[in-house]
Amino acid sequence: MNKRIVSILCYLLILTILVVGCGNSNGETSTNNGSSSEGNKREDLIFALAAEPTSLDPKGSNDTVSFRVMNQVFDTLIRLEPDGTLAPGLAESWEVSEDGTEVTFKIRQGVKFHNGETMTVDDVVYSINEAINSHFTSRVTNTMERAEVVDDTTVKLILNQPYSPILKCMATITMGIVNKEAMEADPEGFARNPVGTGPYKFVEWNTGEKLVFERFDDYWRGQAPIKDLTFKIFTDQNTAVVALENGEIDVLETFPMSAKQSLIDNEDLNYYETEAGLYYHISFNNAEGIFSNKKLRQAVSYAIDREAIIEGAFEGAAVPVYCPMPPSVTGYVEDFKGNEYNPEKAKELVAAAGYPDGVTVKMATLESTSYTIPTEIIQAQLREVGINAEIEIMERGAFLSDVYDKCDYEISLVNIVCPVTDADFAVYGRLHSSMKGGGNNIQLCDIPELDELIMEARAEKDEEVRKEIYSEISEIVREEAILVPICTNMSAVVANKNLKGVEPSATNYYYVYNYSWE
Amino acid sequence: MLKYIFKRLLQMIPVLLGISLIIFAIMDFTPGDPARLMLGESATEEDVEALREEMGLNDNFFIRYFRYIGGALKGDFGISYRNKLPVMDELFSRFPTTLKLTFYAIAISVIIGIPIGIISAVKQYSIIDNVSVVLTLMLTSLPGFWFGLMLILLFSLKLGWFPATGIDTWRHFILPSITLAGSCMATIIRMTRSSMLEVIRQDYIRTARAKGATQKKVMLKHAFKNALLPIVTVIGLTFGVQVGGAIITESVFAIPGLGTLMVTSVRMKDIPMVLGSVLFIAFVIGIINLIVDILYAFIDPRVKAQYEKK
Repeated sequence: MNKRIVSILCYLLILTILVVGCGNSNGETSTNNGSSSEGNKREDLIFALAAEPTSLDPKGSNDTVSFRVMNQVFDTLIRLEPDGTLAPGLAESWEVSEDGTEVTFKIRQGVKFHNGETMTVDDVVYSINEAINSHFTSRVTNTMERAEVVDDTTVKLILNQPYSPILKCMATITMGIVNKEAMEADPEGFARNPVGTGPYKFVEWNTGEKLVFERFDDYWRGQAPIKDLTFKIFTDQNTAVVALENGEIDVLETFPMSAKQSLIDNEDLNYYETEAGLYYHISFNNAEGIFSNKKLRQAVSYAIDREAIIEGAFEGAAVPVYCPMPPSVTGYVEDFKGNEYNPEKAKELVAAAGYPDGVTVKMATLESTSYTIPTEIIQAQLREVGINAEIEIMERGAFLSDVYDKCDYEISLVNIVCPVTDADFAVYGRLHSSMKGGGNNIQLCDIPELDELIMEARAEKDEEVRKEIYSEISEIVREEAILVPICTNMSAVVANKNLKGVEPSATNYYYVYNYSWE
Repeated sequence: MLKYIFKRLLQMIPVLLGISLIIFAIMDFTPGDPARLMLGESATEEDVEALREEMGLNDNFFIRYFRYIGGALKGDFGISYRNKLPVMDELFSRFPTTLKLTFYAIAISVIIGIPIGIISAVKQYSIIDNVSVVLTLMLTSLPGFWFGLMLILLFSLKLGWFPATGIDTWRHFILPSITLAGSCMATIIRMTRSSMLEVIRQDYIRTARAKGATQKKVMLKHAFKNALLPIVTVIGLTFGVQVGGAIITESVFAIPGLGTLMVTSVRMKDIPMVLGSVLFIAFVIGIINLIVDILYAFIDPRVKAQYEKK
């Protein structure tokens, strides 16, 4: 009997040694209740990320996850307020030249970098020119020629054409101001050890696990209320939801649609949402193949029941879109009349297109459920009008290669994200003939009249006039059925209810500087 | 014995070369352009092309392969396309976490699995045996992601005993280790049971009993020692599988290990990182197999005699 007890004890001892011996006993678990119910005001914040940032160099990445982190580390010359207005950032003021091809910035003085150095016009010019020369930034910088120093407090940005949304472009984190010396000292290492002027300075990056930042005490707008900021990486969205409910994280902005209601119902959390800065649309290859037939494209535009797609695929959390841009952008045409759901007309158009007995097409789609589910609903709607769409689910790499690079497809459901809330970011790349193929104008549309209008809208300063031009553009897109706009989903963020200052963002820009614990 | 180990290590070189060629070819010939994946769908053709050129992706397949092998032989496994970090740095930063997780999982499986397996065999068709059959059936059938989430819901969300995610302390490893241990424990229980059943029917066990040895002595000294060979093999194999295959568990518990790294890298067509991880895992599995073979010598005197003859 004694021997048995001894052997059990031995087992337990081995187990304890294995578990404790190899474990890291430094520090206790980071679990917290997430609320300040005990009355202690917290000074830390844990923000969930759905993936690992690729780089913390503003010019070296173009994914929203990296942007989210960099927004806390870098400042831009112009700041985009959560309500969409522009405010002075590292530039105290700015002036756009009469012909619209130059912007002169008066640079704020006495701003400190995280390494203690004072920001100069050289840092500003260096950062802008580096961004212009990068492969990652061309969507934002394609109208920028170069930046130059005018004097110790003034910097001039020269454009290659008048460009109305330029100020908004300068407010994107791509144009974040970096410390020239730190960047030049270690160009590769900067991406993982950034030096900016933002409210949080970099502490450490544990690959695959978390990124840690601390409050920058010399921040020019004053210290942030939250002292320690951690971004924790969750590749499984369900786990991130549990971690939020459990109080292990405080802010979450990517979660499965199925968790939405339970997050809204959770009394410990606040749910915020706004229309996202992207829109889903059906894209056709207008130049080659079966959809070069305009009538067939028009048939699709009448076959789509947007409400059914919104209910079925987005659980109601989306708004229908009729013009080729999301509602959150400047230039959006609110009262535009697009082609409404009319299956009878669609059937007639299919017949008129030369397919009285129906037609079979191939519909390429990305493997993610945010595309496959709406695609299946579209497939059912198309079947009703005599178009039999065979869905071809593709892995992202193959999809980008076939649809975006080679434009080797017939019909597909895609979306376009506007990193800047201006209609030009939805229209120029998608519809201008100079952007044919290679990732942007995947419709391969080439309509001189449309090109002219797009260029006109780019240069026009008056917002009302621009809106009229975008209305004309939308009309051409509708008439030619170049693509079929469907809807814009909601961009949501869920946070601990005691965290104040959280606001939803169409462009996924979140400023932890504005957050504080109640 | 040393000569044998050296020979085995040498044998790994052609295996690793073969694996590298196969993986390189698969990554290269499957559709998808790393430069496009890095720059996103909205990048212009010119930018993608310029980046391809910069990354050396426009070179011929063999030039790129031999450039890679040339670097690898010098210990340079390249720079990740995705985050520009040296591949080996990232592998070494993640491997300890995966190793720790695998180690705990195997330890739990062995500590619980082997005794249950022995008891089931000794008391065949008893209640314990039947319960163990049901248990193993359940453990093998439960999908890892579901089992992991259920553990989180119960022990983390409802009871609050353990944190759901992270790797900061040993407490963070308990739920993922149990999740990972689930399926390998089932294999170990079944293997121990069947191996023991086979052995206890042998003549020498009857002889041992006839000599008057106690049941415990018969089972542990005579039977278990002889039943150990297949069990050790299974444990070694499981270890190898878990090192590279803890993907779901790592993902569910937000653990930055090799599994999640591999998945992200494959999706991003991060060829240097995928190649680096596969070669690394292949190497680790090779080493584990070698250790298992050496362990045979300690368990089975006949094997030891063979080594010594060599």
